[in-house]
Amino acid sequence: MEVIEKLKILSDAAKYDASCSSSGSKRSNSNGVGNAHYSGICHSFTEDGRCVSLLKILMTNYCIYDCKYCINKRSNIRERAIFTPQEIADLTINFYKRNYIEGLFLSSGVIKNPNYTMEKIIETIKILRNKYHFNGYIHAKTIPGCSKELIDILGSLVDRLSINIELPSNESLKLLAPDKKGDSIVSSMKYINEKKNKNKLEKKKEYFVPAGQSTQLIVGATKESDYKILTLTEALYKNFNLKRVYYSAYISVNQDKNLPMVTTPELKRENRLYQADWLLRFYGFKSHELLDEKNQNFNTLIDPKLDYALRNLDKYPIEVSKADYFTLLRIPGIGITSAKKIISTRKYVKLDYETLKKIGVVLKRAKYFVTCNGKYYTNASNYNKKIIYKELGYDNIKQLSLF
Amino acid sequence: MKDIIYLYDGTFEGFLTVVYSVFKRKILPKKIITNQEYHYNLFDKEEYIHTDFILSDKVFAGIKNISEHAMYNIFYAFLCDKNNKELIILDYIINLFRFKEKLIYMRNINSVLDVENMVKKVKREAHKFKGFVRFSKMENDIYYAKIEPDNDILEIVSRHFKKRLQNDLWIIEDAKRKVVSFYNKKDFVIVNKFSDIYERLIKTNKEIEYEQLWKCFFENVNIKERKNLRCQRNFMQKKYWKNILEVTK
Repeated sequence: MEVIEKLKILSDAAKYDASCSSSGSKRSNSNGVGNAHYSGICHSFTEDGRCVSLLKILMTNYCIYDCKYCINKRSNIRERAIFTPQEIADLTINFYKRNYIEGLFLSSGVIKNPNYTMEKIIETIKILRNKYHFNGYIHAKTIPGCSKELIDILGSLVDRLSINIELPSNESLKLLAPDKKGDSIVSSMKYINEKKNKNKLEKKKEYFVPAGQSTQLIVGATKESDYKILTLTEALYKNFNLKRVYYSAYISVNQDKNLPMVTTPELKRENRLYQADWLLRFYGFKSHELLDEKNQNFNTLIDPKLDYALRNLDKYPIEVSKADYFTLLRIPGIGITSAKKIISTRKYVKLDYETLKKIGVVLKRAKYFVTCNGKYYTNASNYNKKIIYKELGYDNIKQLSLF
Repeated sequence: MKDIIYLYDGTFEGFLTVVYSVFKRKILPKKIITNQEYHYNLFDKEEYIHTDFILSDKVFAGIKNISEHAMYNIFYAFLCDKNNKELIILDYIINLFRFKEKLIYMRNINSVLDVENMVKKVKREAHKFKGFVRFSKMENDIYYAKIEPDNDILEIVSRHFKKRLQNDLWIIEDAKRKVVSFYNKKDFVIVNKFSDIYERLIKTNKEIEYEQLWKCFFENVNIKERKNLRCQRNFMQKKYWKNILEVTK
């Protein structure tokens, strides 16, 4: 089979992995090819609006497993292909030198057994790192159930490792991925995190997964609520120091009695989860502040932060000339950049609404939730729950979301 | 009295020499503009300021002495394609000598915000081009790329590729400004008024194969059910497409 044929099959098979990040690593170029850029670089954007940063391919789409949601499951009749390690290394180097990509994201179906598959992945990356002296970004998948020794070797070669949980609960895993075990996924994440922490404590110089770990959760294939997904996410960040959790709105690729038929993916829901994810990681929110047992799912009509503010009006208005960083971040219409600018500006200049607007605060939103030097934005009305609900159409939103 | 207009050669050093003259004469010009862009007319009094490296170094040192951060802002803002950038930066420098290093955060002053936004624009576009540059491998193992950015980011982008592709020969041409960056495995030089470089290079046959492989990947990694052209164009504006291999028609 020609390389272009293989590339067609094995990039198509890899596309459902949402991860595209090339950030978090500072690997420098020591007389070889390439380096990692700490903030990551997007090289292109496909028609679905997703960024292309890494050469995202499977080594093979042959698989011994039969996970019901997966397009590459054993029982599917599909065209199958397998790259040799040399072919992958050559594609990566040649794409990289033309600046098409930032590096390689290598995943694979499981062939023979998990260890054998891992060995082939390692062989590929060794060619890149040792023969071609490639210092660009490499993200590889850990194959669930492989040995710790192989994780050690792979971890010393790559920038990022990921292992996809895919289904947000053990029951769903049992139902849809009977060959995979939740325990082996979690134990490998735990192992990598502990090893990273240990290296840090002992101040070891060698690289071990410098850009950390990530994972992916499928949204909408099983019955878990947003609350359930978000608390799982929170635990993953807290317990395993994950760098990212990705969410992938489910699209039906297989027919199965245990799977819903989804032709239009729940993109809005996915978007709300990403917004909430940001609130957890950068804004100091806790999952129970955003959702709880009574409100298990996000409102699709308004974003999670505005929703939080409207449900907690007793905590507002916030005085922008005094509030600390994390309090400023709770104001709808103020993000990380504008919060930082507010803090650095107010040291030297008395803030007013004009200046706030100029430094990037979205006043259209923020005006309901702030005072500036004791002054509420509109003179006509004072801080009043009824007026805010009315102007932001919250009563309608609440009613609509009941259906 | 007629308003004075200062003309200069368009270089950063030339601009700093103008700044020196403004401080020396204590007269604010109506405009500062490059002599290429300027159209003579009856109403203005123009004066060409010759670039003087000793004077520009003096201004540079004076600014850096107050704040390295401010110097960095001024250098990046100068690369911006904004109209009248010279007067905005001049106002920033005058205020800098008055308010010293805290000026950077005095965002109630218009030129402070303008400079901050210009820096942001330049850095953002330079970052995008670290991804959007597309090299073609030509004969004699030379990698060639053409770019047409809004802002003058060739030097920033060259510094990036100097680290990244340190063992390869590469050329990046800014076709909009007719400047070319040449890298010889040690350092890069940026040469002005150079426009027919592409005609002197020959694309290899192997190159077309890699172009096809890349386009094949680009097509197949897309998820059709999630089509969102607006989002694609937000991130990768149409004006850049003609030099991005996988989206040129």
